[in-house]
Amino acid sequence: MERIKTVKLARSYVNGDTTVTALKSVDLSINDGEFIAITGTSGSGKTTLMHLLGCLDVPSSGDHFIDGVNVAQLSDDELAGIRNEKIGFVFQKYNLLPDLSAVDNVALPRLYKGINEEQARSEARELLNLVELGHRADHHPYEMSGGQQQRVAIARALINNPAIILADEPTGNLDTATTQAILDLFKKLNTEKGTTIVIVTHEDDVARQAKRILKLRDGEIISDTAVPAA
Amino acid sequence: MNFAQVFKTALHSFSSHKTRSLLTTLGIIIGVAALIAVKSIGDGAKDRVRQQIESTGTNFVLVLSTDPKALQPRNKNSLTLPNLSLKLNEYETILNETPGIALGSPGIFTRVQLVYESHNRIVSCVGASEHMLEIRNWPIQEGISITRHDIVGAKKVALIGQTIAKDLFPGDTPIGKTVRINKVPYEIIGLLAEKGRRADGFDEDDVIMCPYTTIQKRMLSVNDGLTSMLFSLKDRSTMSQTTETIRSILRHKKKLAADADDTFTIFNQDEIAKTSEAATLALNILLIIIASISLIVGGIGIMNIMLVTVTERTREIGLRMALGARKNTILLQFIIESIIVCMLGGIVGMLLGVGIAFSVGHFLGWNIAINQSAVAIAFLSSTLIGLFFGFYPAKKASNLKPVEALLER
Repeated sequence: MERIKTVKLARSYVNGDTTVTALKSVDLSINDGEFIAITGTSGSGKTTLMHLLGCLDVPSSGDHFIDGVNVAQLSDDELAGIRNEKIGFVFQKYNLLPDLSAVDNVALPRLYKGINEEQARSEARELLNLVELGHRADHHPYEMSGGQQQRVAIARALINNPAIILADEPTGNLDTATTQAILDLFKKLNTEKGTTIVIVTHEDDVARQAKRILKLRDGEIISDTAVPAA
Repeated sequence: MNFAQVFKTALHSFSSHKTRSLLTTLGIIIGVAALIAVKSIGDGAKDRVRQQIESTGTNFVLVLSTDPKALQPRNKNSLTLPNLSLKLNEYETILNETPGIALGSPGIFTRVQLVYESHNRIVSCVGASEHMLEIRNWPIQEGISITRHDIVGAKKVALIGQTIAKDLFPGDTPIGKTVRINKVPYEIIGLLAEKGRRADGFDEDDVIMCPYTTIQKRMLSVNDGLTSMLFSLKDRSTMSQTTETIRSILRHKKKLAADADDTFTIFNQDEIAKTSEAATLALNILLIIIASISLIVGGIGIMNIMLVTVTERTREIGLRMALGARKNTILLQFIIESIIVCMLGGIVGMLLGVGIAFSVGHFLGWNIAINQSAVAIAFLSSTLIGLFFGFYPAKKASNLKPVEALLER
């Protein structure tokens, strides 16, 4: 089943009288259960693509379908709803709210969806168990290591059972061992739960662990290769 | 996200920045405290003035000499220049020809040098007849009052007020003591009951009272001349009518032309009450304006800090949007935060204002009642200020673009 489809997706920025084109014309199709790495050098357009896929930004032209809905046509509030229900975000800097405990951080997207607090909390605890952080549920982010914070962020990305998880340099701040642990968690979610995962990374070691690698350069996809199973 | 959850989020964010929240709300605290304290103390003052007017005497008409041409040449014994344009025969004519008058007393007000042992000071001296104290509803605490005999003979006798008694004769009776007034010995025959301060701050207990004839002949060396006349009425309801009768008799006696101004001023108690009420009202309005300005300034302080907060928390706003917060949810969160800050400031300010009002009341010995409508208005206005001055920063927060907010460093 096709989860995401982009047709001639483009994004350019107007800065004074110069127009900078960050993304030229991307045609992309992502199916249910895929595990994709988007790679490219700095300035290749991979972050812009990630923002467009995550509905954090709107394209200058082209179409963007999530589960068959053309989100390029939606209003700000409708996009907020799409982000809430269809997309789970994982960031390089974890982006947990420092004043909230792990369980409350994970439950937050559930509250924005309109689920009551009690239910949201109990679901959040289950997901923290899944990422092996059940024992740290009531701790605050500053009491945790980077790897633990990232696992809390992954639990948060999962809580609304999204169509896709978008991870922007999720291992950029982590050491090698922790990086592998996080990637193993993504693989586990992908194989066991069938979650669709898109990782943006500039590290080849990380990209090679996905099932499919998209390579961007100057705002265009220059290669789209399947990774042979190890 | 429902309202209770948004409220909880706002409260949480408020309580994680306690010091800043408190500093933010300082303007509101001061404004609300000022509003409540000012209104309550103002009411206390009004009450106090009303009591004083009542205690001055229940119904009287006071005629003051205000003829600008009547200033007396400086007398060697007198320290001031009393305006003596009112004459005794005018007083007697008024007393005899005005039907509504019950009692009357001529009055002379001057300043004298009072010496007793090592005490030497300038005090106010009131010349009066035997009826003055009755008209003014002012009892004698100890000793006797001035008599007709003292007035006819211009006797060297004096009544003294409580302040002078405490000063000159601490712990002792003043009755029978001899003091020197302008170097002449006088016998103290009576001690006046405590009267308190007038609304203008004049201490009514810091006076000497002598027969008016004594002041005329012995202190000022004049044969005639009064600074004032005081009359009580048989019936208070005839006050304005009696006032007019007195005015026309005086104008006639003074042969004033029809277009000439009065050379005297007549006060009656109703007018005094009206004047002081108008003054209190004006003062109240002024103070409320000042308190309102400080509330508005406080509100601008809130807006300022909220704008800083929005800038500081741009990443948080971006993240919340990424996680699915709608514009209105963000808007509501920041407005509620602003209202919480202001309401808390309102509560603290309220307690502070009540405390100030009671402290001032205790210090001045006034009865202070906390003005409930002032409390309600202060609380309501602090909430509205939170809403009004919080709206713009909240709107700014909710209009952020998710991607730009998230990329903010």
